[in-house]
Amino acid sequence: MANPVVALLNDPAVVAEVNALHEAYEAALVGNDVEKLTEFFWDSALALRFGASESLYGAEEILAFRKARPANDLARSVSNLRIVTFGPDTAIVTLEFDRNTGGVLRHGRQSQVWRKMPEGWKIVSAHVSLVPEDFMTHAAVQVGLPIPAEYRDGVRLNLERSRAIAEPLLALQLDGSVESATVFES
Amino acid sequence: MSDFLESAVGIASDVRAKRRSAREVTVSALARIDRSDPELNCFTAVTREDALAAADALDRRIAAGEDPGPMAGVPFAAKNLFDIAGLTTLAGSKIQAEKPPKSKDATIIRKLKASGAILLGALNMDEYAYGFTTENTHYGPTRNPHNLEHVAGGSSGGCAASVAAGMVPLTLGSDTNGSIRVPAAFCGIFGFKPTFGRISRAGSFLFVESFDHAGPFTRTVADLALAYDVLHGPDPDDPVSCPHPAAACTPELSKGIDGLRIAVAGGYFEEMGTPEAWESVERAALELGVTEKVTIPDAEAARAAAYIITACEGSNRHLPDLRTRPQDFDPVVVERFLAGALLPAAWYLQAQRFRRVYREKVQELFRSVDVILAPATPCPAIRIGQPTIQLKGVDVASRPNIGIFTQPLSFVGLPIISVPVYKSGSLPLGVQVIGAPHNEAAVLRVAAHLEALGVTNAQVPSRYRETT
Repeated sequence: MANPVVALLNDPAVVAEVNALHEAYEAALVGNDVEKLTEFFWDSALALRFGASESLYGAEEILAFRKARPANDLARSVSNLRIVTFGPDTAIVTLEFDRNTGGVLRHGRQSQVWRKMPEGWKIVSAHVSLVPEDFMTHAAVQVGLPIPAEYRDGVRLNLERSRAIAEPLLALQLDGSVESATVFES
Repeated sequence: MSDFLESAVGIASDVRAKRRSAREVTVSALARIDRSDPELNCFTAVTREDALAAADALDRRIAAGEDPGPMAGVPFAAKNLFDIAGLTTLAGSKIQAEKPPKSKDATIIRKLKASGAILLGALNMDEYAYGFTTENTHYGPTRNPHNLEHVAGGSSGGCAASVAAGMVPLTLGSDTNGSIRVPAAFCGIFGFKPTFGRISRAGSFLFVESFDHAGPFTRTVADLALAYDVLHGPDPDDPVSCPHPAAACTPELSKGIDGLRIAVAGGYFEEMGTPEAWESVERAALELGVTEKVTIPDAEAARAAAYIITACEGSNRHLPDLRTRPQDFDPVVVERFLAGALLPAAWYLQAQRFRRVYREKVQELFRSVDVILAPATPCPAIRIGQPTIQLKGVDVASRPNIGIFTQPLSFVGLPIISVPVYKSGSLPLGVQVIGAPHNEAAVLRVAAHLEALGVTNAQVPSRYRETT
């Protein structure tokens, strides 16, 4: 007799159903269609969404966030989409994405738990995160200075070189009373 | 003897005495530019018509019995970061070429013209002065007159090469971390960076405001002193100009070195360069009878601090263009600018505060010595395109490291002359003659003495000695 769990895993019909939902969700996300996005989430105080920086508990907090979110820079390219379904009513959707933020390409990951409720499939829990970036990428965002792809290696090399050259300066203990006072009187 | 080895002092003396007209001198200099510049690539603009008109006007004034000034008829040219009325100030860049022409000369160009000198044009440089080689991608590299496969040094490469090839006896450049002293050393001529604030930089395209300096290049020490005497002085248009006037230095040259305490810079300056760079310093010291060695404290940290301040201030000035059009910068410069824009404020402030401490230590050192000798560069002129040099046996990137001996000194605004030293069979090198702030007289006296001893002189290569 077949293992009942394995038999329930990744039923092609269920996977196809969830994949269609994923695509519709992705379109609503990129288009910032707040109404549709809200509908995709479970309308419950138990729903949860961890964003890149925000922790939202319950449908109300999720909706408030959606409404306040600026509609720029939402486009993203998805890779490594995985859908795993358990029986006819439970699914996990994971993916990686690349998204331009303030002119800098950031890499991120997203996990969603879907559950088929009486009113249809809903996201009951989601987590989005951005992969931490190196100093160059982070500083470039803060300064508002996009670094074109062809210069990134060279800029990184220059930063490392600057760090090495700065070493004897940074190693010095300057007294707290020292002021720069940039005058050159004789 | 042909006229191209003439000094500014010699030309001015001839023109003032009506032995030759300013026009004659100007025509001759323009002919040398026409002959030599195609292979050396020093000039980005030759102001032929204006120069001839200025020479004619000067000749008319002389004929009318007026005093034409101490630089009467002396041909000169300026690094293309100094404003020249009627020309666009390029600062070595393609982006600035889109800007309209300037309506007014930079202060130092105005001063030279007022003293009778004749401006012949603008000179090539590293883009925005961020380099030691004048390998400018937009306008081509300036070549070393002693070997065309080698760089002229930078960032004032056009200034040094045009004087070294005998095209003009005098040029004006700028020095932030060595941009006068490095090309002067590589091309085997004299370069002088007086004390910070002593010569106006009003009307120049700034690179690093904390230590940008202006100064002259010449083939003799007397010409350096004459240029300094004409150029220095307070300028209300320059907010960092030193408000106190200084005495003329030409009368000092004949005083010799009696009473001057001279020492060689040991430690960092002895260890980092090639043996031949150190040899030229030893030779100068030997001829001067100098045996004392001093250590400039924290020189390596000073070099680091100068490097960091340069990266931060240099890139900040160009942030709008770096954001919107990085592809229009020189590819050999843009990555350093982009990196510089991202350096932490903590580094920059540490560097500025350290500068105060270091400046006090250096001033303390000058209580026991008047002049210090040090190599100008760690090696002679590198080949065009040479990516690395060796420091202490380790290969390091050439562009950021050619200035290791000049950077720690301009950082606190000291007056320094790079004097050329030749050794047969190799490219020339430079020795830095370093003085205390506002003691230009001492460094000029030592340079003049070295010249009188035959240790230093500028040798125009034979290919540029042919007469027209």
